[in-house]
Amino acid sequence: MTNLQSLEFFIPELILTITILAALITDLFVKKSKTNMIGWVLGVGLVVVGLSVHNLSSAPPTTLFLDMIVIDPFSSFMKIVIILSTLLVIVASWVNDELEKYRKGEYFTIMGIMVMGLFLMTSSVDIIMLYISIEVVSIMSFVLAAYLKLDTRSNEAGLKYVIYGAFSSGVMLFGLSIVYGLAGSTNYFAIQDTLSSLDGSANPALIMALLMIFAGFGYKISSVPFHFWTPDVYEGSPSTITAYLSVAPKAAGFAMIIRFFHQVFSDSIGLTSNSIGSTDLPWPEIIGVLAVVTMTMGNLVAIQQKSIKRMLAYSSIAHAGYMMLALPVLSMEAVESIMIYLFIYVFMNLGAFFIVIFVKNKTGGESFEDFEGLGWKMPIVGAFMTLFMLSLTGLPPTAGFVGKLYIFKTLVGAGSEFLWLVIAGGVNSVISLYYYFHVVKVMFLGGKRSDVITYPPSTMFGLMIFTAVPSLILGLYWNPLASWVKDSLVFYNQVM
Amino acid sequence: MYRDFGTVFFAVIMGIVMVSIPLIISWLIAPSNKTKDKLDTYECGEEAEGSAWLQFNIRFYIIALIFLIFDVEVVFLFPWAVVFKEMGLIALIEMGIFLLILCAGLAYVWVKSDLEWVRRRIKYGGGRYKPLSASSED
Amino acid sequence: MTVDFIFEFLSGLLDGFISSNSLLIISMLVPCLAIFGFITVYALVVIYAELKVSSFIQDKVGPMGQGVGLHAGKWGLLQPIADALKLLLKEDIIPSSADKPLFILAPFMIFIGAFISFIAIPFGESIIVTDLNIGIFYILGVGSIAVLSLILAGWASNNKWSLYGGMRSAAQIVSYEIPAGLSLIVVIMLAGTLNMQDIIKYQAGGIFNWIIFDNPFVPIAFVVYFISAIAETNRTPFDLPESESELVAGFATEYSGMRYAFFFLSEYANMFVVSAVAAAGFLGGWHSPIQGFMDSPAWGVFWMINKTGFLIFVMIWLRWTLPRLRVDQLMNVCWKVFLPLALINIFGVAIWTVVFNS
Repeated sequence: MTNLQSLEFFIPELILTITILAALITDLFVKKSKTNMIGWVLGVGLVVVGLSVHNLSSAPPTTLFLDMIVIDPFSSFMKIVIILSTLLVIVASWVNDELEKYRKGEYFTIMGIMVMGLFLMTSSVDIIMLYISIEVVSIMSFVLAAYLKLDTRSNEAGLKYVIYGAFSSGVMLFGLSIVYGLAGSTNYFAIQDTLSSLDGSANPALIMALLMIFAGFGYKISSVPFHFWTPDVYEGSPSTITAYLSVAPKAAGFAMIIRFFHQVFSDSIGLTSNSIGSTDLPWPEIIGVLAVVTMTMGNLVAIQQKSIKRMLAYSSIAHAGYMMLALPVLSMEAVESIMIYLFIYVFMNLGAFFIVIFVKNKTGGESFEDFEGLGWKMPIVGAFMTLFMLSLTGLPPTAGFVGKLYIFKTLVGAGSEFLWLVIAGGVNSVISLYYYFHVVKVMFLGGKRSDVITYPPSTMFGLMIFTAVPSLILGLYWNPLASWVKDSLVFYNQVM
Repeated sequence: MYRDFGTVFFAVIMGIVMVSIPLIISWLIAPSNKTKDKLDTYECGEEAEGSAWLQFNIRFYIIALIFLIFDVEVVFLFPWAVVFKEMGLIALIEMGIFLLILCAGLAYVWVKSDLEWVRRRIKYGGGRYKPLSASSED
Repeated sequence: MTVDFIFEFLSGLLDGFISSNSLLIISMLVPCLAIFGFITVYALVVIYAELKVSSFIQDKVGPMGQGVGLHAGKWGLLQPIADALKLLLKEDIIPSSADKPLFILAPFMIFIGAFISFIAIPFGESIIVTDLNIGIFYILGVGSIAVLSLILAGWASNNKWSLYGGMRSAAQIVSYEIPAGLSLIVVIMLAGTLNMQDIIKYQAGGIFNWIIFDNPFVPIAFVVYFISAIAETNRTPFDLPESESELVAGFATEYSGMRYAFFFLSEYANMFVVSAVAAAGFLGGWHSPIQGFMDSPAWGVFWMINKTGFLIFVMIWLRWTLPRLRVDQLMNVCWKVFLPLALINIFGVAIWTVVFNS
């Protein structure tokens, strides 16, 4: 579709751009104490964007801007996930005391720009667009991670993020350039067409390129061995940003990986040929091993953490591993299970982080000691936290169980060669039970009992309700979600 | 095309030659009586103190960043300006949007006082070791 | 176009003696030599003019050769030549702590930057070395090489004055490039081309067809451009990079002899370039102010040189009239006055053109 025709289907992004500008300009006119208003501007804008994304989700899949990006139900789903998580994080930012010292105008504006990058990440079908969108997201994340500029840890987080990010995106760009060299085009469909007809002589280059590209992808979803930035960045960043980074870029990252592998290296069914292109490397096994290592590493290290924020950082690595379990199959069922897991993960993970923020506001810390006796002092918060921990572990009747159920179902259904992944996933769930329940134990069995019961302030309470209800309800009645995901399972596919 | 830029290339070469010849002449006929004091760095007659390769004001970097943004803008405007008269109103609207976005950027750096060479209000901190007091930033 | 013309001429003359490739190279080199000669003569003239104008402005007589020795010739006409000889005979000193390769490179770069700008300057209807299709863009682009060489000079000298001067000049030139560029956009919008000759041809037909009188916004653009151009050439009142009273000689502190002379020469060459661009872009280039009056190709050179010369005279005039700005004033004027003004100008001209010319 030509550029001018595309504009009609690009309305969400255009509205988002206007929102960002409005946020930027509003920031110039408000006092520091009133900068929460920019959150309102961005929030209202995002709701409108969400509505227009919803409007477009029924449009026929097509490419925009001369095959640069696509709109299809899959990207619409991911965009709505991103908008939901952004809205939740915006509200949480209003009540996060860490940010009180600073103007929040730029914070919200940068968040808006990041949403723009995430949108493009979910829908790009051109490696240049892909790279640019990743960079937009990365650079904005660097700034957000270092937003507490008077806090050394936050600065450290930003700097580490920059170094890892620059390195991995450089490696990725190198890989992409090799792919371009092999295929002679930057377009996914053209690349697929050329790569499928390559003979074996180009294999070493292709393998190199894929490994390098996976470095970039792995960095975005923090999979082993590209996860090293995660704990430090998550710990140093403002808690709201930690929550955001653990959800939205991860969702977009998975969307990007799925689209890349789905549209470049597979036919419509999945990675059926057990290898990519004409290479002899067993890609499903390699990704499977990476997934297992990722979640095992995340879980084992999470056990030893003293700080709950850091523990949640490692747990987010582990969850990336669970989602990656379905990647080797990459059939439609696999994509479906990843989408369901992502949607559920948004709520349970954000909920857990919001409680960490709340506790930090109250006690000034985020270690296990600060959670001692929480279940007695603030029973509601304790109960919510328990729910989130249950859900993150994946126990019924919570939503986390449904997510894991779908992933394992896919793996079992895909054949016996994926059975070891199921076993690894099960074992890991048991390991994670230990540290998630450590939190619950500390909250209810540790510390002194208190007769004074405090309730969270209304905004925080609303956030907890908003994240807790889906975490519970989706574990009991997930049919609407499943059917929505099924409807969204339409990719734009171009036959060259 | 080749002729045009070929001439530019030869102009560069001629430039090098044209600078070299006077330098060579000067080297041949000028006196050369070097002493340690002559070769010393000039610091108003005092002994030179340390190297000059040191940190300088961060403002220069900020100016460079702002310059980069607006220079790219100017470069984008050139092709637009060429076709402006043919396209008329559509060109005006398109570039109007583009320029308004950049004006927003200009307003932003202006209000954030990144265009001031001398910052009268110290915004963050207020002394190297002093923690930020809530009122110093507005 | 001159290169083609010389090529034709030479191949007619030397047919069969030399291959056409070497003929082409020769025909490319000849105009370069001519340009160099022009720059030298022009520099001598303008240095003399500067001495004399400054003297008259200050109510003095300036260099005079009257008296026993007649050492500077009649009316001091030999003064610039004496200056040039003096610079040639000075000892060439490279400080022992300087970064030698960069120190040597800087004068080369600044002179080449100025020199190759001349390639695209139209002196007459057919007198232009190469009629580049992106002429005005090329001149702007090549003009920024000066920044690089000034930073090089400042940094390589390993002298605090030089470093300050170099950094200041970088900030200043770089900042003023934007209003200058934005003002030239106005010219390009009206002429619809980047080619210098076509821009001039657009202004044919008397003084009221010149771009400066096209609509009420263009004179503002001209003023913005001209002031920015003065700032870009580092002349008073914008000579902060080499302000004698605070930075000794700025980036040129450690330079002596011929190397210093090239900085000097390039400053004057750049003055010519920016004035020529202003003359070609706003003041009708080689067109006569009155249509049909002295309007032949030969007179074209006369008009072009005179218009440029007048602008150079204004520059000299300003130099000896206005005091130097402060750094923060300099930046304020650029970013807070000229840049918004230039942007408003573009909108104004665009709207004016759409409303009245369509």
